[in-house]
Amino acid sequence: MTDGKPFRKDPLRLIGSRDAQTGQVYFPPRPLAVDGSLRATEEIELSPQGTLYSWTRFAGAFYGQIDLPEGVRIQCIIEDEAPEIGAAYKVVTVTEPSGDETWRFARV
Amino acid sequence: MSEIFVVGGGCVPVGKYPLGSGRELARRAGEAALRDVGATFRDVDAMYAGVAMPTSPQAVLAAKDLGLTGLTVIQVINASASGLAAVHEAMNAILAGRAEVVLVSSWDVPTTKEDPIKSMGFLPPPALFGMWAQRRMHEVGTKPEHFAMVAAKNWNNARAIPHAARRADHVVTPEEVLAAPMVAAPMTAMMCTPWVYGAAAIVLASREGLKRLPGARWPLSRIDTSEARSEIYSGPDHVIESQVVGPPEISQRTVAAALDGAGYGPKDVDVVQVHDAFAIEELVYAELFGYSQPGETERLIEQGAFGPGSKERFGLPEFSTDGGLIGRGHPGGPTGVFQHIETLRRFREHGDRVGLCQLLGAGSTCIAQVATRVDR
Repeated sequence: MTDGKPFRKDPLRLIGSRDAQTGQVYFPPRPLAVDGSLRATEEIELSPQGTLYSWTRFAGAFYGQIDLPEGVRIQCIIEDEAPEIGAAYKVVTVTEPSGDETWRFARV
Repeated sequence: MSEIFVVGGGCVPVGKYPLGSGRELARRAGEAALRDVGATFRDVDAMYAGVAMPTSPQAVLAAKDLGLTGLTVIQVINASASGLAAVHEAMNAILAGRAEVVLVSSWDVPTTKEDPIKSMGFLPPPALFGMWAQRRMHEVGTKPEHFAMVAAKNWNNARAIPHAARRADHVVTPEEVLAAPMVAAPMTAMMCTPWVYGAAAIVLASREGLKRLPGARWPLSRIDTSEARSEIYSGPDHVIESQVVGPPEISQRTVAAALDGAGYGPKDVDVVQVHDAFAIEELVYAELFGYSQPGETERLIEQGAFGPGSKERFGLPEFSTDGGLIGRGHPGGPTGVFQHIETLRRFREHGDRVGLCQLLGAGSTCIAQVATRVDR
């Protein structure tokens, strides 16, 4: 689910995009604004911490939606045992069984 | 504008079938639908197929199994909305004057064990709708019992439907639904659609086309409007990708447009079929369609609204009368066709006058169609 969704290390940041005209922020980054104007967006680094909007547990993993201050909602697996709506979560890296490095959000 | 009638239909029961058997199921459903209206494949101008799995173009093979008559064959792939998408395109063919009799044939049986939802990078659907439910409980105070009441209603509706996947031999209670294994908190297995396959077909015709269908019998279901929409950016809460479906407001806009186009308001509708893959959905859609407000919906469900007798007791339509995706089951391709089969059944057996069908397709799209009973 987070495969291919870009992030940068040192410091760890997810990469989104921003429409300079409207201020709208998108994740994953998209080349064009959402309004159909074909206006190009600009790349931005997203805040590493946000608040949990909702969560569930499915097939042994916790899933969550995290709202970041830029005005974008991230959906991903979360590292937690007792998620709490409204609590703070931060982005972390994890190494998958395949050896690939990816990211999740974990309770602060 | 030309009238478009659902004249009859046929299907195979929803359930488990061997991988790769979709073509065989399609032939059986198509044959049943044509026999239901007293027609042969030679009477059909075009066949529209809505297939979610497999994604390879197999409609022409299924058509050839019914006859090599040279007709137009178009396959539509629109995930869970594939069946309604095929109906949408079949309507366009009739409205354009290209066809008078159309077979809409839809089926779903994958040819491999591939999970198309996962391969497209979507969040597992139970996880998404589990999060819908968690947020709903946080904001509105909805209890798992309310989701269980919705699911129990749909399980019990399915008991009377011969082709339903889940036909309980007893009245299903909310307590039984709550006690089922947890899938995605707070959604238990009995609140979720089962992973099943099937095939269904309906014959659409213009009024002129009815002359070719000696088995046609009144009343018929006339599809007045079909609206097919995709999502509109809603602001910072909009998860653009990896959602199986986008913000629920897509259903509000699509259904409102379909009802408006037909000249109806929400309260004119007698029977509603929705994308109730998870019990939380039906509750949310009831509000988005204009039937109740958050908080009020829970009280209405506690009193039996949206179930049997809802119109008489509450002035509200019944939802998912064939069990919906939870009870009848949800083979992605034919579900929309099953919804029209059920709408016609309700018109004939229960005297309902106005029906609404709504489905979402992964990605996300929403299709809504409004039908009116016509007695002659």
